[in-house]
Amino acid sequence: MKETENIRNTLRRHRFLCGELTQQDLADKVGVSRQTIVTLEKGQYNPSVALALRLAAFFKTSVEELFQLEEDS
Amino acid sequence: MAGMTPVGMVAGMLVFLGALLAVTVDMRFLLLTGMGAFGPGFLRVSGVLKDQDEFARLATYKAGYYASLFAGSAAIILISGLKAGTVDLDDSASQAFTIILAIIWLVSVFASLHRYWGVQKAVFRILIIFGSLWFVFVVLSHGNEPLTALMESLVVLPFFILAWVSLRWPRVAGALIVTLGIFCFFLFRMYQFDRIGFMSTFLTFLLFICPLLVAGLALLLKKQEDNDNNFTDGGEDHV
Repeated sequence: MKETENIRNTLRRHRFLCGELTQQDLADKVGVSRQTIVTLEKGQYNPSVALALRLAAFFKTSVEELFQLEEDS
Repeated sequence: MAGMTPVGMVAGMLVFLGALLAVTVDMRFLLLTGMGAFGPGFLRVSGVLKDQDEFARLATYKAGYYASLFAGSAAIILISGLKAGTVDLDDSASQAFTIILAIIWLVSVFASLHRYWGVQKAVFRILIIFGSLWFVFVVLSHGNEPLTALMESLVVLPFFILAWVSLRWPRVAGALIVTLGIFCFFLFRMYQFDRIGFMSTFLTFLLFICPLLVAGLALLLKKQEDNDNNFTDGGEDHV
């Protein structure tokens, strides 16, 4: 049984599309620490449903657009 | 959580002050250390203190799980050793508790730093913490002998230099830290258990040699993708 699912995300791209928003700015907007954004972007941490929804709402997109399951190789 | 937050600073000061007063005035001041070490956790689980986001909470919970695994295993080994007579502690109750507490503290600090910051930043912080603690210890030990204090405080320089090296050349720093750990193992003659007693040998190994070896090995075994280029905490990095 896998401990965690491999999930890729498009946070970096969305930050870029939001006028090169800094990680700290994004962290402040969604109420987490910058380190959380860093680990999210690197795919080392899978967010809770609540945080995924907050991020999607901030970027005015869907959770599926931000986070996708990686296919098993 | 692992950074210098106001809560962390107050907790750290309580731990340090409690340990200092316990050694110099009265052992009952150790309660202050306990308040600093476990107080924030109690306040968090009771919902009074809300200073962690979900990632920090997960790191803390995972660190607690690892600490319970290691401390539980150590407790089983210790109990079987004491019962079988293969481990001999002078003041068995307090010494056994000290060993278990030291393991809980060490594993949880290491695991939470590692989980929260990643290998490289965690090792950097561990080396800075160790160097600082040693410096404080030297200053307190030789407060009235400035020249001796200055000479002995030079020993902390390798920690700060290695911390700097670990951010730039992690593998080199890893090899150097492991070498330093092995050198200290032989320097303090850790293999001679009966020289300074089991307790002193064990705690020296656990609180000094072990962190060096773990930090060094973590850097050596670190995956390439763990590289974190965001060493500034200012949040100025862009895509």
